[in-house]
Amino acid sequence: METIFTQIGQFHVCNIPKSTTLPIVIFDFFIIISALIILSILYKRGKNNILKYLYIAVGIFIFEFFTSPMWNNWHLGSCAYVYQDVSWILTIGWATLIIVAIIIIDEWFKKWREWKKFLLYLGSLTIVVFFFEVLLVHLGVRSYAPEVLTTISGIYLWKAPIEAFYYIPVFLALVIGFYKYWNFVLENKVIAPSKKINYWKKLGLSFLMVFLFELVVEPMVVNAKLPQWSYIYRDISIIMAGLWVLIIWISVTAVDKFFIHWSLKGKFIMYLAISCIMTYPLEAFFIKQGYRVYGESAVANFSGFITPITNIPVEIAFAFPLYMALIIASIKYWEIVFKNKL
Amino acid sequence: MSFLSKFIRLIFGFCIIFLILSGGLGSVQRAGGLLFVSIVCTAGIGLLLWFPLSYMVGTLAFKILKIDQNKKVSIELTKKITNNTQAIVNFIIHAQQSGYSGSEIERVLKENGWSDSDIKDAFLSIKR
Repeated sequence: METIFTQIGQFHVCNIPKSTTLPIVIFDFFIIISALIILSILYKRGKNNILKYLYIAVGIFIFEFFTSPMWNNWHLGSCAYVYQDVSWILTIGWATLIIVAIIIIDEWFKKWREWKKFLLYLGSLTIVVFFFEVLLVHLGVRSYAPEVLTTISGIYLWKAPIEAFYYIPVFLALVIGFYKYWNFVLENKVIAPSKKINYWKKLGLSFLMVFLFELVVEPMVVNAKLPQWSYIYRDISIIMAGLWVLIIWISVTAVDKFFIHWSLKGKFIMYLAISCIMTYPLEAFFIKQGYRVYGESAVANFSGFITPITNIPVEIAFAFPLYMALIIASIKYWEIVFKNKL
Repeated sequence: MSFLSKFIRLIFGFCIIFLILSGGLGSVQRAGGLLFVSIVCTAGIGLLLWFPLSYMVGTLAFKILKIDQNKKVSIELTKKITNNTQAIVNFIIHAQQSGYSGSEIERVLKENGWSDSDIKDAFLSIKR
């Protein structure tokens, strides 16, 4: 235990620039007050709405935690951070924007089909989120890791990279998918069990979600030493990504088949458990053999603690359930939307 | 399920995990160290893993040991039913409670690939 305390004392990764400026303090207050106003309105509309807000915030936090080596969120003030440079101010800011958009669209376009509303969420929020991204860059809060800067095209729109128009919709799609899945649980939605398992649909959705996410997080880790033919875009390898797709597909299919009678909550835990049990030793093996090389920014974010037996950084071990939680919730959400006609 | 029941499952599951970790790592101190590091060094984010994992392990243990299953016992006592039938039964009960008619329920089940005999068996299980 002494070693652990010594290591915590050297927890250098917490030393991020937190000193703030007046415009950033105003921004912080603006976010907090907006969130409080929206929360009070939501509470008046029903107590469940607070939980909905919380689900969105959890989804955002998972994404922010997972992708934190890719961007810096500095100077938000000493009380604005939860873990390293992951800030609760930004989490509630994005959550407020997303819940407002979802509520307005759900209210005004009640009769629209789910996929149409989903596209509208993405379209409208992408524009709003992009403007907030621009604001963050101008305030000096947001900057990008060197790995991201070398990956992007170099085209900027008001100082924000044009690639934000890809990153933002993927971020929104995963977060809203995560929220919508848990909203089924919250609203106790009647969902028919399915005898016919559509293996191809599950595979297609798994493929889509994994590749969309892999394109975003590609600067964080290099997939090395794999056959040249397997690289489809930069260092994204069809072998590595295909393996994650396969693991997710197996987990989702096995749980839907053998735990068909379980609740959505129970199934979700099983999806995560099965997929993580398979991914964890594989990732450890790939890291040891040099197939997965984490970028300098990701390594700098590691606290230095490693897991027993596999000896991989604890951050990587914790990243698995987070990665799986976002992807699997989105897959299952779309599956339910497509098949449930009640 | 009451909050207390969920909490007991969580604690029970956590104890099992702790025992497994102690066995796997060779000592109680090391297991404690791992938990400490995974929770404190991740600013509590580690709990996002340990809480659901503990609850899942506790729920599984309760199922295996057949503790606190009085809610579904009435169905299971009458006949040993399959997971598939249990899934349809759960759905029918849920749909009926939400106000859906028998014909609507039957239609949706058929659309999801269930045969007439599957549906009939499920309705019979509920009636028993």
